[in-house]
Amino acid sequence: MRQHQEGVFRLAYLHLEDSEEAADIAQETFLRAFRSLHRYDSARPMRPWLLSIAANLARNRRRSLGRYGSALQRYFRLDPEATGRSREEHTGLEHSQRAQGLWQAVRRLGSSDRQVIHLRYYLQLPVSEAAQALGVAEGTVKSRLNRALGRLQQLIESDYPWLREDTSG
Amino acid sequence: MTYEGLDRRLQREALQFEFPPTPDVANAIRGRLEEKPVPTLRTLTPARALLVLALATAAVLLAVPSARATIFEALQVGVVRILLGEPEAEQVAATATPAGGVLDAASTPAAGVREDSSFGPPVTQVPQPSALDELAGETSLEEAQRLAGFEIRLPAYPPDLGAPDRVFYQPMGPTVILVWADPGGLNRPRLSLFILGKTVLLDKAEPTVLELTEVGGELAYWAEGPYMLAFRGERDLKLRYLVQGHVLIWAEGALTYRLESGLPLEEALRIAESLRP
Repeated sequence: MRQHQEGVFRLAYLHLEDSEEAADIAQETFLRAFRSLHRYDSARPMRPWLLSIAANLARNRRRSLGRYGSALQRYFRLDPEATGRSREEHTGLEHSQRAQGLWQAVRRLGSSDRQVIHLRYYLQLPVSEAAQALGVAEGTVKSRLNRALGRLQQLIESDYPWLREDTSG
Repeated sequence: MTYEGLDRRLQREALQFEFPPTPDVANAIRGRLEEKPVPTLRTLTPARALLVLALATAAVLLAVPSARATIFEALQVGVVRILLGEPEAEQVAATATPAGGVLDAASTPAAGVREDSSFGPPVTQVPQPSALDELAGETSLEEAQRLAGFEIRLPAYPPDLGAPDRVFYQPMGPTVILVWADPGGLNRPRLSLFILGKTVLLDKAEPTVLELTEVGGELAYWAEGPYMLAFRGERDLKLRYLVQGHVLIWAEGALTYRLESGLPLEEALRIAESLRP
């Protein structure tokens, strides 16, 4: 379990951008996994299975938060002093403006594009594991990744021109 | 077209992404595996706290003993919330109490149906379904379509399913209930599809099996096990046991769908994804 908790937590964080929520989702993921162990195919790697659970839970949490608490959450995020935490704690991105810029661009992609980029780049999963986590074929991951990169490239060209360099293929 | 430059850059810069420190999840859940604690607001983020408060409020408004149940986890799809708590033996007796007045008094329209699910042994104590006749609002499909204000879509699968045998419309929600009867009789549903408007609907459950799945790319929940339904009758709420089967819950736009049947998940998904105007 400990070997997978980092990946699960990080994926949840990529979805929710809130470390407390991500920690909660990580816990929930492992609880669900334990309760569903009888359904787990031990012939398959565990990490993609856990990540798929985490992604679903995080996505649902994100919707719930959006429905019930986005306004309040936004308030707390915009006013770091309200929570007694620094803005850096909320974003974790301040150390690299370029990495942050790229991250901001990724955030603006659609859910499907973000998912495959999260898994492939931010969690550095091989294509085979990303495919299992997404429940699709490896070829589909590659094509989705290519489409996602295309849309990210367009976004950079139009809205993040200062990120243009070194991104042409 | 390939995007090798962007690929290289993402590989490089994603490594610089600063994640918060990973918490000790293993240690944190050890206690939860042994004992399920009630979360306190102190441990919750503001949004999470709001969610818990909303759930707790709904439970109190419904004023059933299950409100005393441990509310420590909640999942939601559309207007349906699934509270995961400890199973309570008293739930069945509780649902036999007339809760309809409470619903009215609380002005909490529950789409005419309140689900108080108990997926455990107490099911045998539940009165068996005598009829759907006591469910208010029976009408024609055309009339329900006219009243609902949203498009009622019907399953195109299985191909021989045909039109629903019975249709109910209830203004709260609004809710449309489509029932396909068992060949044995119109009072015995084999498949029912609830189409729920924006009404809050408390869906309390401790399902023996609860799976995350997708309907048309959208998150859905699949719960297995018998469950209790309390229908709004002409004069009050009466408990009826509708389906000793499974439920698939998903949302599309402003509508929430609940497909109840005894079918396996794969078949339920095929039905859900076959809805057509």
